[in-house]
Amino acid sequence: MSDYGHQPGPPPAPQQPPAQPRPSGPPGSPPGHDHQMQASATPSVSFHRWVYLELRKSVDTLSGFWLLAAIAVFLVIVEGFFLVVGLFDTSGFTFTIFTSPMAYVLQPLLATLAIMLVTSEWGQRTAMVTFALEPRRTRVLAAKLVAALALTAAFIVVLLLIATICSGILAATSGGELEWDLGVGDVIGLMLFLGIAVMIGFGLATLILNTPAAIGAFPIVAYAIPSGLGLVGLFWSDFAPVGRYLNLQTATNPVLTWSVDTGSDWGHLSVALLVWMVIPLGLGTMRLLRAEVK
Amino acid sequence: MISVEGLTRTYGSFVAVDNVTFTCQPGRVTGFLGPNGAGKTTTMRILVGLTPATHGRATIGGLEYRDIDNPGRHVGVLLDAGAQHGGRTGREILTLGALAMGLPRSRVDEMLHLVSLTPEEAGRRLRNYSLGMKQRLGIAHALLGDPQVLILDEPANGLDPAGIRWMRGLLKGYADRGGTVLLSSHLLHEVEQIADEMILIGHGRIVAQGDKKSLLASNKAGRAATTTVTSLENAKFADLLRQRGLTVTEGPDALTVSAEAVEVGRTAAEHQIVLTDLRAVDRGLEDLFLELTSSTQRDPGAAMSGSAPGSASPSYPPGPPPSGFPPPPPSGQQHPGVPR
Repeated sequence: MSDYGHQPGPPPAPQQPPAQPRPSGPPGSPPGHDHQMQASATPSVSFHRWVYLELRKSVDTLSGFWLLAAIAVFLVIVEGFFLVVGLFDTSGFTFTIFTSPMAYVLQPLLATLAIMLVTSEWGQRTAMVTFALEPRRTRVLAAKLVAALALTAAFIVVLLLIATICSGILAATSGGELEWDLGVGDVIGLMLFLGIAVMIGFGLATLILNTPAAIGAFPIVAYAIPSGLGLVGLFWSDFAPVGRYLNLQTATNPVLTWSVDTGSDWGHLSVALLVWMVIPLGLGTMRLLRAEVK
Repeated sequence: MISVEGLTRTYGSFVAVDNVTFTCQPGRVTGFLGPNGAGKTTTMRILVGLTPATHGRATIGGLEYRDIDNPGRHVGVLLDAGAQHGGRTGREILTLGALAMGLPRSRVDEMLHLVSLTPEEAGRRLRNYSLGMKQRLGIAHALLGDPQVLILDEPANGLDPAGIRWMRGLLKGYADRGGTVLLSSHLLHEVEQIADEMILIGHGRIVAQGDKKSLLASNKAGRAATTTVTSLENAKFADLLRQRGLTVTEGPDALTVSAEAVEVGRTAAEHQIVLTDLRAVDRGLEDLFLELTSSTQRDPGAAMSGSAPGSASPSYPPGPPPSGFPPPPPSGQQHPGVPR
């Protein structure tokens, strides 16, 4: 605070090295007398910094922190349950028992996390501050999406850690009979499957921009509609092949098992992703770009 | 520094901002004054790119807001001090701002110190803040990037009298060092004391603009002078004034005369009446403000303009106020509601 209230100096230098902030001082020491804005004097903040900012925002509130903690705790509980079952009867237990089924546990939770990253800005009205600091809204949105995917990757690491510990315990107690069958395809499948869930949640969030509504919309898209389509297909056999194109669960299950093989698998996956991921995300982005930020 | 040209924003058939044009100069505090819902906030939101304009252009330093790289370093914005996550601490909110602008963390402590938030208060979550503390934090956030331009919507809201005085000094000093300040208020008293320039807005239109002197001068030009006078013999003096053809209203303590003070004084001197008080009624900015914006007042009775409540006041075109205001009120009260 040494330069508190010092006299106006020369206008800011036209060029300054990046990340080298102007000499700081209390309010607008020297705000500069030039009428023309020296926009080039202050380079934009790098994209990875915005990603870091978004990651920080996801943990710096109690609600955000506890959402992350609750997901981790929930994973431990479910894995623990599997472990207890396995301790009674090891037959049929492999390492992937501790990983792949967990994708269905993480799917709604990580989607919720992605939704919250977007909608909490609107619910808490911080979007006003965020977009005033970065008017390029797509940049903010992209940083949020990268942050959501980074959190997803982190949870996959956590999941693999817990799965390794549980498998280790099981292997030790059953005399090393457990099959360590995790392949590269399983990990990639897990990442893609959860990444898709996160992107779908993200798209719904940008489209709806309301926390409870978007959190409610995800299970409808991911579970209720697939169940409904399946039921209709049971009673109306002509509809069944059409329904598979819109059924998110049957279309993405081969992704998880890393077995998207046939042309019809690819067809189902492409159409389902187009309808439930690409279109909501596109419309939502357009909405966000035009929206009046209140 | 701030230039707004022909700015219009409509919502369906509702015109929130109607062809607004003004500029804000560096080194000056510009007060944006109008009743609630007059279009102040919408104009400011358009300025910082949060609301798209229907027509017109708003630039800061010659650039549209979205074209400014790292705008937080050039334009300090406080539109709503409550628009922050209630679960974050004050320090965290400023830290996020500093990160987003690429500033060192030390800047956060400087700003906290500047707005007199103690480390203990800065560690509290925003939802536990009083309105005044939120406002201080918002001002700290606006000043973080050491901007040349400040855009503040109702910055004095929720501040206590000491806080308002502090903010006045802060903004004056900021403008004196060459900064450009645009602040809005619906309280004339606040703006009157701090603003070098005033823009009066009502119904989305600018009804008057200029510095305080020119606003008052143009107000005075259009109306008959009024004087209040107190003497030792009020009743007798009233008769004498009436004999000179002046209109006199007798109040409980004072007489209100439709004439220049010098005319009243001369009458007293001629008749050797002892005056105890003689003053020209200088109708304050508040009356002007209420008159100019009376058609937009929610409570028409609040307009002190002699005209019956509900009677439509003429719609003023943008620009300096025209002459020909309604006659002054019969009462001799001056500056109602403005403590002196």
